[in-house]
Order: sequence, then structure tokens, then C-alpha cells
Amino acid sequence: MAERRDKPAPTPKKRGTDLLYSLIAQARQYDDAVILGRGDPDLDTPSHIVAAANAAIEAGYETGSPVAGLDELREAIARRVKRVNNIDVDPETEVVVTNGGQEAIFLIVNTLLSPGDEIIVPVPTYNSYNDAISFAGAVMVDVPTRVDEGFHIDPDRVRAAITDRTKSLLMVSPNNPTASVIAPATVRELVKIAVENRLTIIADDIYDQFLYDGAVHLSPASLSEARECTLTLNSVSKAYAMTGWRAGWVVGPADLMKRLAAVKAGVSGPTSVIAQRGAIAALNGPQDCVREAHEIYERRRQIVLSALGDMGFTCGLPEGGQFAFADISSTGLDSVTLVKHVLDKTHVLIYPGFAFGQEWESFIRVTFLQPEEVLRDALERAKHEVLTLQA
Amino acid sequence: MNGNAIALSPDEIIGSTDVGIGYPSTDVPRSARSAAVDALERKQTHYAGVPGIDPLRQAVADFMSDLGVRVLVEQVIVTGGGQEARFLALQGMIRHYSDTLFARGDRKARYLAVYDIVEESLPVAIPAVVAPGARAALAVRERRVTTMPVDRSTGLLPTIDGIEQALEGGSRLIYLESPSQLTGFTYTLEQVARIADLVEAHDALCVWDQSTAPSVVGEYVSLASVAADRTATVGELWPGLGLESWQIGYVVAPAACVEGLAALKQVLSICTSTPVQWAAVGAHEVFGERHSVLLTKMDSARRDVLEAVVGDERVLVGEAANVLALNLGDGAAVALQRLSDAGFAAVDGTSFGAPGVVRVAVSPDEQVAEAVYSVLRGVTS
Repeated sequence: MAERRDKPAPTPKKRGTDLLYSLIAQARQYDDAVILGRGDPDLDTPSHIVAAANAAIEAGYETGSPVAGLDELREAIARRVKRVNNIDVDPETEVVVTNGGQEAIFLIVNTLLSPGDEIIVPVPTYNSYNDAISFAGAVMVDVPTRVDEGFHIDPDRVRAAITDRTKSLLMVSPNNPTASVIAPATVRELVKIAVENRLTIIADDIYDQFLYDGAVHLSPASLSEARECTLTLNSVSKAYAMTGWRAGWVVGPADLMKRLAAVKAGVSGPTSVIAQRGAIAALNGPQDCVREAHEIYERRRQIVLSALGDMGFTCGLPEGGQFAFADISSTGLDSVTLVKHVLDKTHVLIYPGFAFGQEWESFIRVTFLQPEEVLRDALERAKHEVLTLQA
Repeated sequence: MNGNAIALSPDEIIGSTDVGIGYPSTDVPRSARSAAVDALERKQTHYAGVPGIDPLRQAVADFMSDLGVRVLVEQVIVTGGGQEARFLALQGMIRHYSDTLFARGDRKARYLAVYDIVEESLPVAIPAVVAPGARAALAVRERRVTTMPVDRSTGLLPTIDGIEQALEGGSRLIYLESPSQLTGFTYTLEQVARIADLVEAHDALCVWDQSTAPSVVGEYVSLASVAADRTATVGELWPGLGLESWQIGYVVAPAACVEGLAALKQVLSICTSTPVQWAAVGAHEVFGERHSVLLTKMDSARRDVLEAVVGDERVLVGEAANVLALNLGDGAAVALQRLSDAGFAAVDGTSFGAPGVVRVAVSPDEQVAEAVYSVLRGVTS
């Protein structure tokens, strides 16, 4: 039986990435900390990828890579986006290798947007979009999604947000942090809106191989009418447990990719050849590891959704990704206060929705990225504390 | 050529016909490869901390100490190569960015003490002759840029008067290379002290690019040794050890700017490649010894060619032994063509803003060096 406990006082608020990093720093002080916040898979990078990287390392000196990436990797990426996303690209002119998905975001935003330009962003969204847009001096125009609508994008809201300064539309599917997947019919509708209004689509396909409950992912660039106005980003980080390697990519029409490569030259130059060799092995090698990871995450997802349900939280319709975004308003607490309290008492870190924007302070994001036993134990600890608060 | 030079073993000199990169290409040391392989075996494949792994940050701090600059490990941010370091330091120290990204919550007070200095509307001053990376970094977010005039007497580095003019003209952020990546010239102790005075007097900040500092023969003075709280020092790790394509670099930030620049690094790429960072830790173990051998070899090779062209005012003789610059005017195109015909790459100074200048990297491979210099003697004679 849960004991009754006075509700914790509201916690002074940091925001965005600041907030998340301060929470991670606190969690790392505990020997028994379990981090269910950061999007860093606990799985090991598959052995055939490590072996390929070891061979590249042992080979020693390698002549520098072009800024756009090694030919072999660009060809592998072109094959991958055809196989998984049904996107046709010319590896020579329509692919740029990046330092992970994070740099891909930064490069795309700073290629497409100038100061004062507006970009339509369904919210909540991944913080790095806010930061990259701020850097570009552009204006982020929020289009809210709602938990009671499964966090699905309403094309009418998008249409209503367009002004003569709108240059771009962001489509993240599966979404981070809500885990919603944009339905194919909605993708087609959004593409139509983008084409009609001459907007460039930013398609974030980072979690495209992690779909559940029969959800279908449709890459906008696979539609012929969107091919010339879409930049699609992805990485090897999440699918192959390679977050620390820093290898990702952008594909899109040659004219935009030429500009993006120039931005890449100014930001960082070529991506490390070691990371590129690892990415080549990942994309060209056996894909069983991705299927196995999917099965593992699917099991863990059930554990997370079950625990969140036990806590009285609702999650919209989490159809993809590696996390769930849950409404905690039943606790009567804001997300930072709840997360801090749970971290203080149980050493379990989950991410507060407030980090994704003030309007999401009654939500939390919980990742699946811990072994099942650890996940069960951590969620049990968190659940006990939450139920105690609710008693 | 000087047969008494200390030789690297032949299998350590790789791709030595490529004289265009500014540093000779040598093989990656065993310690670096082993460290990287070991890191992968230890499953160091996840995100590292944003500013880098502590052993590498410590190695950079030690390297700075060797240059006479005392820094805390916390001031070091590891980057994905020298260009990311340039971008991070240049773009991260401008007011606009601090306001929009860094000036949140409790960070605001700490940042604005520094970032108020560099208003976005004020021009960033860069040398009129500079490695293309600086211009490219500023072009990403179209900053106002002003150029500082250079002079032959300072080896195409900005003159002290030119730096002062830029600061008098309103610049509060200046970018300087020492050594010049085109000519290998460096600022003297007296000049560095004067630059520090100017930066202080004008309440300004400086990004100091010392990517090829290890190749300086004799004393090298880093601006951070006299203006630590106003200097972001950038460079590459570790020149001459064959890690160019592995992409690893650093920023040593003023203490007040560290958190802000780390925040920008997070936005750029979250962290630098983890296994590559471990490789750089391993490389550092042998950097001093191996680079010393390399430097002796480069210096020797360069002296030989200088003897051959003694008195030729077209040859710019800087303090850094890794490059040799020739101010050939209209003859530059011929020199570049002859080098190309002979299978060597040299750098056209036009990309640095110095048409007519040709940069040749000094090769430690005696046969290659002799072949290159033979071509050049033909052009300069």
C-alpha cells in the first residue's frame, strides 16, 4: 500500500537542452541511476560494424574524405534510402554525409532559412530544431498537436499557419518526443500544401525503422511531387546503436544539396573517415541487427506503456520511435517537479515535457533504451513514487 | 638534401607526394590505432560528453601548457576537426547567438558578461589573407566581416596597425592565425603582447588559430598566454600524426565562454566521435616524440631549399617549418602547373586571398622534397 506523501514544491525551471543536461548530470551522481531519458540505445553496436571499423583503424592513414562524404558511403546511403524509403537519389550529387543526425538538422535549417524566414513546426518537437532555427535567425511557427488526437498533425492547422514569409515545413515521423507517425494520407496532404505554397519540406526519418502496431511510414520525398522540394535526414545512430560514432546523412535535390555541402564545409568539413567506415559496414552489411533491435524495443515498449498506464498516465498513440510521451496531469504536478522528485527519490531519470516547450509541462518522455530487467525495476521504482504522490 | 636529418622510418611516411595539405602525411601511430580498437572493444560507441572525454581534454590542456598557456581541463572542448573548432569559436562568440540560444534561465547573467561585447551588428575582423575555413565559417550565418590588411614584412599576417584599425573601426571579435597557414609566419612575443593590449583596450575577443603551431622552430607565443580571458584558441589534433581524415580538433575557451560554446557544440553535433577521441588520446602518448623527429626533418629539408634560393626575395621564410611560400606573382600559375605536371599538389594562394603566392608543404621524404624543390628552383631561377 502506498504511503501518503506531501506533494513536492514546484521546481525552479531551466528549459530545453539546459534542463535535460542538468538532469543527466544529477543522475550521474547516483551509482544506481537508471536513465530513461536520453535517446542513446543501450544495445551494442553490432560486431560486424565494429570489425569493419577496426579494419579501417588498422589500415591507418587514409586520404581525406570529400566534404560530402566518401563515395562508397554515399552509394550505400543511396541504396538504403531506395530500399527503406523508396527515395531515388544520385549518390554523386544528392547525398551529403554528416556528423550524425544532429548536424544534419543544423545544416538543413541553415541551408534553407535566412533571418526572418518562417518555418512551420508541429509541436512538441525535438529541441535541436528550436536551437538550429534560432541560430539561423528564423522564426519557428508552432502548429500544436494534441494528446487526444494521438499527436497527429492537422493539415488545416498547417495551412492556417502559412504566411508569405513561410519557407519550410518540418515533418518528423516517427515524431520525437510524441512517438506519433504521420499517416500516409496526411503525408500526401501535407506535401500538397507544401507544393502549393512552394515550401521546402524537412523530413526527419531518424526513427523510420521503428514502427509498431502496423503503423506505416511514408517518406515525403518518395512522392514524385515532393522529390524536388524535400530534404530528408537520417543517421545510423538509432538503428545500429551507433550514437557515439557520429554519422548521418541528408538526401535531396542536387541544387539544394550543393548549397548544403557548402554549409557543411563552413561548419565542420568532412565527417571522420572512421565514422564513415562504420556507417558503410552498417548500411551494406546484414540488417538482422535492425530487426532484432526492433523486436527488443517492441517488447520494452509494452513494458513502458503498461507501467505508464498503471500510473494513470495516457500516451496518445505511440506508433514509433524508442520512447513514449505521457500525460501526467493526473498527478497535479508539472513535469519538472515530478521528474525531479522521482529522480531524487528513486534515481530514475525520465525527461520532463517542459524541456520540449512550456505547453508540455504536463507530459514526460520515457525511453525504452534499457534492458528489460532494468526497465521493469526502474519503472516499478518510479511507479511506487508516483502512486505515493497520488495517494 | 641534408643526409644527416633524423629519418622517420619509410613506412611511416605515407602519401608524401601530397604537398597541398600543409602538413606531411605520416601513418597513424600504433598507439592511436590500439586506443581506438580498445575503445570499440570497451563498447565506447555511445554519446560522449558534449565537451569531450576527460583524458583527451587533459591531453589538450597539457599541450597548451607546453606552449606556455595554463588552462583548466574544463576550458577544453573537443571538436570534430579544426573546421568545427573555427566555426564554434567564431560563431559562438557573437551576441545574437548568446541572446537567442544561451541567454536562457540562469545562464543569462554568466554569458552576457562576455557576449555583450560582440554585438551582431559589429563586423568580425579577419585577416585579408587567411585560410579559407575562416571565411567559410562566417558565411554560414552571414556575418558582417571586415578585413585586416596584411604586409609582406609580417609574412602576410595582419599588421599590428591593421589590427588596431579594425578594433578602432568597431570590431569586437577578431580572428588571427599564428602561424599563418599560408606562409608559416608567426607573431613575435612583442607583437603578441601588443595584440593583447589592443584586445583589452578595445574590450574585444580574439579567436586564435594555432593549428600548425607545433611546426614552429624556436619560440612560439600563443595569445592565450597573455590574454587568456579574451582568447578562444583553436587547433587540430595532432598535426603530423596522420589523423587529418579522422577529424579531431579543439577549442580552448575563455572560462566565461566555456558553457556557451559547449551549448553550441551540442547543437552542432552533440559530441565528437567517441572512438576517434580515444584514438587521439593514444596518439598524444607519442605526439611529442614523433613530432620532434618530424619537425627536425622538415626543418632540415626546408633549410636545404632555402640555401638554394638564398637572396630570392620571392621566398617567404616563416617560423613554421611545415610550409614554404613563394610570392611568384604572374609566375604562380606556371609553378602550380609544373608541380601538377610532376605529380605534386601545391596550394594556390588565391584561395587565401593572396593571388600570386604558392604554398608548398615541406615533405620529410627527401626524394619527394628534392623533386618538388627542383621544380621550384626552375621556376624561381
